[in-house]
Amino acid sequence: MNFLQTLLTLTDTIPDRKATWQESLELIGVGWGSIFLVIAIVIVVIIILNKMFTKK
Amino acid sequence: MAALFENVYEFGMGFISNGNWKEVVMWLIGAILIYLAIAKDMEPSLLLPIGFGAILMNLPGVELKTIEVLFRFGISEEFGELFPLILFIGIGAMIDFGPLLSNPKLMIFGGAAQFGIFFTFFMASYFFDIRDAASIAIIGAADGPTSIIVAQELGSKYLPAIMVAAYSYMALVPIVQPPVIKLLTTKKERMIRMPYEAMEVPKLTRILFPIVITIITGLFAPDAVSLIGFLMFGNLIRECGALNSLSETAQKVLANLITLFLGLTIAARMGAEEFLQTETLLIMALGLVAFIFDTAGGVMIAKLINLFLPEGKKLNPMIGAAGISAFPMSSRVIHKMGLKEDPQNFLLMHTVGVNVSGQIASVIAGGLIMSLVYNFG
Repeated sequence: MNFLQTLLTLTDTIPDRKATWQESLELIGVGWGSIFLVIAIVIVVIIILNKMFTKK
Repeated sequence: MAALFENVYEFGMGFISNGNWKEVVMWLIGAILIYLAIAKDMEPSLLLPIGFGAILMNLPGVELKTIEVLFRFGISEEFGELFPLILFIGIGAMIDFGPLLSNPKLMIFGGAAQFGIFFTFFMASYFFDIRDAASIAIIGAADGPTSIIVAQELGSKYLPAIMVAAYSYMALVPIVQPPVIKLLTTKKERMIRMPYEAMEVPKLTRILFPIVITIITGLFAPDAVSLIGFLMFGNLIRECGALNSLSETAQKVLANLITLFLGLTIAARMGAEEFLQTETLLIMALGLVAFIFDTAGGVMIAKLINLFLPEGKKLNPMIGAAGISAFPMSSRVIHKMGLKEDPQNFLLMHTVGVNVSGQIASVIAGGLIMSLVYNFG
């Protein structure tokens, strides 16, 4: 399941148990990876904005 | 006259048998927090009200409905975690994203330095259930309002301990970060100079940035939108140029007032029975783990990028550590470390850019971790 699907299939409940180590590892991969993806998009947008509005 | 001593007598009689000694321990904890705030200048605007509130809430036979009301109104989910979100308007108005906008690539380190959050979740999962592990992990966001909101949204019972840990470690950044950075870098790496080329950031970029960030975050991490939205609203007030007096009010009066109430309000959950548990010590330890691995994440990604950069273009890996959100403390600490290694090495503008991107990344991380744990089946 990719991170977008993960975000879109939210439920209102969090199970009352400990996470397994596989789930924890998955959270590191998906969570940390997702931040980089969002940041990459933001970087591209800032570069575009700077190019658009910088006076030549 | 007897009535005057009745409360004291009952408190003394139940000192051991009723566990009233725990309340005295809470007075001591409150006194330590006040001492750290005043004598050591550690986050005084928060640790002082938290410390005083801890004493106030643990006086025998005293019920402080005002603080309970403040908690319900300011932090509980019922009213949408009002205080931390409003505080974000003030923080947003304080931050100049200029250094980041002139060198957006620095944002990578904002993301890198969130590693501690996810690693701490891994560690905390051995001891706590999912909702508490995620709430404890977010101490690594190095951002008080984000920690409060995530812990409240996930329904963690350890909110006060998480808050005390988050704000204490933010104040301890000058002690926590340097040894980790030194351990992971060589002297040669710490001496790498990074010339700063000042770039004029267009006014329109500054105005559009908070709006665009809010939209992107809303699309990819909907649970972070309240956090990032209020932060960026504050920044829009600052950058638009039409609301200068509002911006000033948000930066000073609003932020100070909310911080004052927030500290007292957190103390509402610092009753002895609730706070004095072995779990509190464990949370403090895990908070330290989060800050250490945040720092390590930022430094190691910078070192990784350096493998692909030619000589002369290499990054000083210390700047990666500024990606934790503790703004502006972390950027100053790393700038000073650079100066200590080489008095002509001015890293400040780079570290400020990384540090403000850490502010954004930590909020996104908060939203993501909420989204992801909801998905645990």
